[in-house]
Amino acid sequence: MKKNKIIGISAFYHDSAVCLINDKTVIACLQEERFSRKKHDNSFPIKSLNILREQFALNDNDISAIVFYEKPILKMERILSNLIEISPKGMEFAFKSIPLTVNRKIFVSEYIRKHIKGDYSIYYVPHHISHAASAFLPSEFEEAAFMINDGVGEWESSSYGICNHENITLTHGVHYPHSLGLLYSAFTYFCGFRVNSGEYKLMGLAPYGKPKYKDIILKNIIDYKEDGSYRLNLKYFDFHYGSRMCGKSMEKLLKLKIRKPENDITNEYADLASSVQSVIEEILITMAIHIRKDTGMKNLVMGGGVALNCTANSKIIEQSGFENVFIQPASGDAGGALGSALYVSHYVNKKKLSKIQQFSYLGTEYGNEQIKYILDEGGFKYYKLDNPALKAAQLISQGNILGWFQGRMEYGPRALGSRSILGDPRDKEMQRKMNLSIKFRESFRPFAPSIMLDHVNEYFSGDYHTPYMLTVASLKKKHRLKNQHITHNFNVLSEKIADIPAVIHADFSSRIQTVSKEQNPLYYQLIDEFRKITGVPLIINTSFNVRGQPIVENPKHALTTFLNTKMDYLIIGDFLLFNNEQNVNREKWKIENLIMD
Amino acid sequence: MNRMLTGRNGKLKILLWIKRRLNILKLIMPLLIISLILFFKHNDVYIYTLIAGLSIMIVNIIFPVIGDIVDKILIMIINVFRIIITLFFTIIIQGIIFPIIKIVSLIFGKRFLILKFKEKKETYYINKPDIIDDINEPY
Repeated sequence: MKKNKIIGISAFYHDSAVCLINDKTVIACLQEERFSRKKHDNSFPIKSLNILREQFALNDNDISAIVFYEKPILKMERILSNLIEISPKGMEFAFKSIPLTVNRKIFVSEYIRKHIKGDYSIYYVPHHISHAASAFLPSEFEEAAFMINDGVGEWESSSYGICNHENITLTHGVHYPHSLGLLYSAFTYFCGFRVNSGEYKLMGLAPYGKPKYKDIILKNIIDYKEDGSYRLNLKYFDFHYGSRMCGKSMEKLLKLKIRKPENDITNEYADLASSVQSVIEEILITMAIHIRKDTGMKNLVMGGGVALNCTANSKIIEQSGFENVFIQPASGDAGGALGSALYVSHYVNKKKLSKIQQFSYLGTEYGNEQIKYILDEGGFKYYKLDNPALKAAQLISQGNILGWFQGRMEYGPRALGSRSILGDPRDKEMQRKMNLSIKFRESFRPFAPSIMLDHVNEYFSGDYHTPYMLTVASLKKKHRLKNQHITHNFNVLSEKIADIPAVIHADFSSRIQTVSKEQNPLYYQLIDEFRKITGVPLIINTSFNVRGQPIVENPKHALTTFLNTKMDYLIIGDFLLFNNEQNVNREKWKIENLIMD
Repeated sequence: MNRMLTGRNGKLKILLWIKRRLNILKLIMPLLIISLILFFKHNDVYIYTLIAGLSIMIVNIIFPVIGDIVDKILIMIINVFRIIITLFFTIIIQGIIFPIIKIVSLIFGKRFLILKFKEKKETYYINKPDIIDDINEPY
């Protein structure tokens, strides 16, 4: 049999993932956290590889190449150089990082050979080139400039260059420890949220504040030039030699204490979030404008973890002057698996793949027979539906919270209608109820709506087509019940500031997902049925998980999450379950048990 | 002569001796190879010194102690003493070797990472050469 499979792997930093492609298309992209149930799992993706073998008929002998998403020895060089620079300080940091560095950076090929048998080549694509490939090749542009911003790759934390179908050329970079991603993470830490996962909370907090600290940050903490390049004042950071992101020097400068996670969020932290968000936006827009002028390109592609900042993304699209912008939905490290595999396929093997992104539905899928077997085995009471979309729309319109498990799983951090919890956006209590009873997370955070693409202009300004929930849109005035951006009031959403209050932020922005028939016919039908009942062409869409857990991957995960929350109903495949009818031993279906599987 | 050279299972003692040394070499070789790679690839005296120093330490400390111990015992000892060894190495490396390298680098006017905040220059970008890195190599 012809050896035509390529596997991309990202591992050992955060968000390990694998991607399987053949000569024609992307077969699957899987994130290890979804199977291991450890959020942002960074271990070698053994479970994902096994799923490729079991569900996607991968035979190790068909693999022609394995591609690692970065150059491990270059990364080791950066880590060792950092240790030299900070010595004799950083003993704790060195104690943790030296063994990890030696084990995980030197022996990458051994890890690969140990877990994947067969005769194949191993490639190492530079970290930011992997990100660039993951953004450019699915974009279907003929040529584009790329802009990558993340915590850090091997050395680069920001970079830009040019992509075409001959090559990807990285021409300029900003090197570690200067990093917009790490700057944002430092303020995430300062505001009491978890680094590498709480950044979106900081972004969600920002609209509640005023950018009162912006001048202090720009004067003392980060210096940027007219071309968008920047440098951090490391005096205020600890991340390069300690386990904390920042410490007392930052507290002294800001005249504010680092918030403990259990403490209340006060207005000062909202102001700080607003300030750092504003700084990041300003620098990114400056950088994008410079890249357009320097490269002369009309198209821009973006990747790296910072490209998940949807507020900044919208401003870049509006203000940078690029005609077209594509952002890789899995722009964090998980996307590196896709990018590295695509790079080798496209530029080394010269294969032009089609339908690469597939609206990010690149994960696992479970059929009705498999689901029924699990339901029967678990002793669940359920009902078979003829029209799941219609029933879902009816339940949501009656004010119920619904778990929705259908089709192939999403690749990337966003639930896009396959593994989602859905609700009615008109209900002002829905946001609070879903946050506190279902998601167990901070009540200030609004939800994102899924809106029918052909109705988006009725509610939001601008010409939006955002199937990946990567930008924000502004609610049209006719749907607003208040006139001004409301700050310093964390209960603003229960005040009903709009006719769809559960999905509108304090500044009337919303992180929308447009849904078309082509993208997801069943999900589109659901929203359309909801529109026919209520007149509103959008619903709340939040990821099917609880705080601290990855998004559910299989029916068992979905059932466990369903039983451990106050979700009213679950539609899984063609089956409907009522939460209050389930007479199963709930001890067996604890969320903690999933990790042991 | 034959008894001196032959072990209980009939294999030549010299071969067993070589095999055991090869096991030790497995530990050291990656470091030596990397040091050479880095030396020729980057011509970076600091990294080279660091890796060479690490290799010498491993040879000096581990070799005499466990040179005659079979594979399983070797692994067990390494596991048991991993934390102690790591701590020891950390103190030696971070407390002694790295500061020496840092001082040498400062004498020659080179700094690795910590650069001056707000420099009077047009850009902080570092230009990359217009070539594709060799994706066959991990560096």
